[in-house]
Amino acid sequence: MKSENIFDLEYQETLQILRQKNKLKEFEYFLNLSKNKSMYLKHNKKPRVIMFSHSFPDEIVRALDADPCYVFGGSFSSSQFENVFLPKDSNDQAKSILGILKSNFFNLDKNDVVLIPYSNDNYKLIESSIKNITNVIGYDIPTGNNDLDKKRYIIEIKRVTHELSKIIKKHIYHCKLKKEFIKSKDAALAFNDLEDLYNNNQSSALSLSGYVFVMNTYYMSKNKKDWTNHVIKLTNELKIIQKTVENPKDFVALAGSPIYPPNYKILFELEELNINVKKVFHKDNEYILMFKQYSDSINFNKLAELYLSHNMEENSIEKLSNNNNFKGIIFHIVKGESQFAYNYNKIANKLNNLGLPVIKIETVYDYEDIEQIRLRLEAFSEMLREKLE
Amino acid sequence: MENKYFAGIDAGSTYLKVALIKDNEVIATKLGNSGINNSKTAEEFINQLIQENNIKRDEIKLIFATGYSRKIINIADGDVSEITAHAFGAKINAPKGFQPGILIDIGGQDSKIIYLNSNYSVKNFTMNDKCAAGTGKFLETCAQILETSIDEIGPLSLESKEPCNINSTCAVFAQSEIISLIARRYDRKDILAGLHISLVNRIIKMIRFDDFSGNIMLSGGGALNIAIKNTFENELLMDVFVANHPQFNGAIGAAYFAQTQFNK
Repeated sequence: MKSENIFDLEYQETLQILRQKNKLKEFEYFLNLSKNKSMYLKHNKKPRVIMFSHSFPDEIVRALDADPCYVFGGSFSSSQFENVFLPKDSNDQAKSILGILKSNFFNLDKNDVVLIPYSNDNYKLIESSIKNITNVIGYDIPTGNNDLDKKRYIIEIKRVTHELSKIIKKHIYHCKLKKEFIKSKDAALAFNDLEDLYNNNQSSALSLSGYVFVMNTYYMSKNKKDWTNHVIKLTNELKIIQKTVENPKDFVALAGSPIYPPNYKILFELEELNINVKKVFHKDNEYILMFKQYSDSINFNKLAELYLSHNMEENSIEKLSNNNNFKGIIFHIVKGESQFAYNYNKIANKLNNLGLPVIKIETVYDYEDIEQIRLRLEAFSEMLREKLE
Repeated sequence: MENKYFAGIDAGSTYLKVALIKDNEVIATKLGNSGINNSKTAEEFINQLIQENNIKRDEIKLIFATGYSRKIINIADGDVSEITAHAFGAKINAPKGFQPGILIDIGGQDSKIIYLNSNYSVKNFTMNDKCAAGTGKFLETCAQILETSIDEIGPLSLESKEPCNINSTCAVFAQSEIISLIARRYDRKDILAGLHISLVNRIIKMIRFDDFSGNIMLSGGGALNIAIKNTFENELLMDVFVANHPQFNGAIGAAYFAQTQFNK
């Protein structure tokens, strides 16, 4: 069977498991967002802007009347797509992303624009591999958050916007950007309500994987307003059927590399082992929620500042340290995502000093390591339970 | 008063170990190859222990399994991860004078470093189960190349006057290096000593020395090898303890865990 078909099969299987675990009427909307890889398809003849991280404001892309198309995650089969073109020891992240981009269902062409953040060496490899088939704009992400970093980042965002505008032949207007900002703020408020409901453990109808999936679909949705409305509906549905469950003593937080379908093995494993994850510190929810309390009028500089301040791992470390509601942290790293591996030690030291146990779980894009993951998670869970007793 | 026995089964990758305990005391142990039907072997071992020790089946109140095949042991009433089992085992098997610090378990196909609290509960742990270079399997394979047995490599290694340098960090490449050393007429004892240093340093690299303050204890089949203990002491310049019944530490821990669950 072709890798593309296997990828499709993996995707459909993941969606099927999610459907079984989350028997909610409104959940279907979210499942449909990624059905048949609709998030990758060209939409309403709008120019497609392919993005790999949260480091460029999608509000700008939408204000340019283009269609942001996020390529997140991958799987074992997607990483196999590119085996023919890349050296065998290329890392999984580069192979997986290139696999999706060059696959038949993606159909990358000269009408598309790919925004490449230079956050690690993999992206340079990706850039050189696709330059001849599509438009590519690379940009630098500062590693700090001081005034100079902010200035550099704002210059980069403005440059990318200018180049993007030239390629897709559209102008950006302040009123359009403002509208997009309002949509993002509405989405943040709606998701915040859902997250509150999930974190407070009032509902057992939405599983951990279901909750993460809803979060993931923010980046799959072509219509942010529509997504927001459905999040509100889902929250209301949950409120009606909510079951008050006694707060378990051993709930943990999940941090590190974000998780995307179909590579949900760690989420499914956590559910299988009854490890109660009630806080997810992923860039996904940070970026969705960052608009929540923002009430200033928006402009380019402020938008850039907002995105940069949430690009810093230190924020997550701070949040992890200050949140005392959980008893341990599972730090998940997808092989190849070196920025998370690099930050793990800093986080682990800080949390160990606070007496919070933290475990690093490194995963690859296949199921070969599932036994090793299971053993580590089980031991970690037993360790927490023993500590609480 | 009714006798209350508890059994632990450590269904490891290489050997299956069974232990029977009563009132925190190890009554009997049994060891055999893992084979292809761990569940059946475990059941046979339990029955043998019952017969050999003249006890009734219903006097064994609870049986817990640990190890790679822990989920498929039908006779077990429950299972516990190797990490927790080894920590529980350490409480019973710690030799006199041992202050809980870390437990290093060198198993057939993995090695574990378990950081212990003062009450022997698990504080943290790290594992090497993706690479053979820090495991008993590494020494076993090397022993075959050097035409000796796993039981003999420790004493032979201690006779070395000038250990060889084994530079490869990969078990497969280390084997090639051994063949090359044999071809260059290096003494088998010196090659073995070099292999022990290589294995021990591989494990030492996994230890976070800031995370513990007590002593180091070795368990697992690897701890039966005297050269491993000596090499750890030479490399770390500190005393290293060996658990009583090192190879059965996991099984004893599982039995003790069963006892703790029963008494809850």
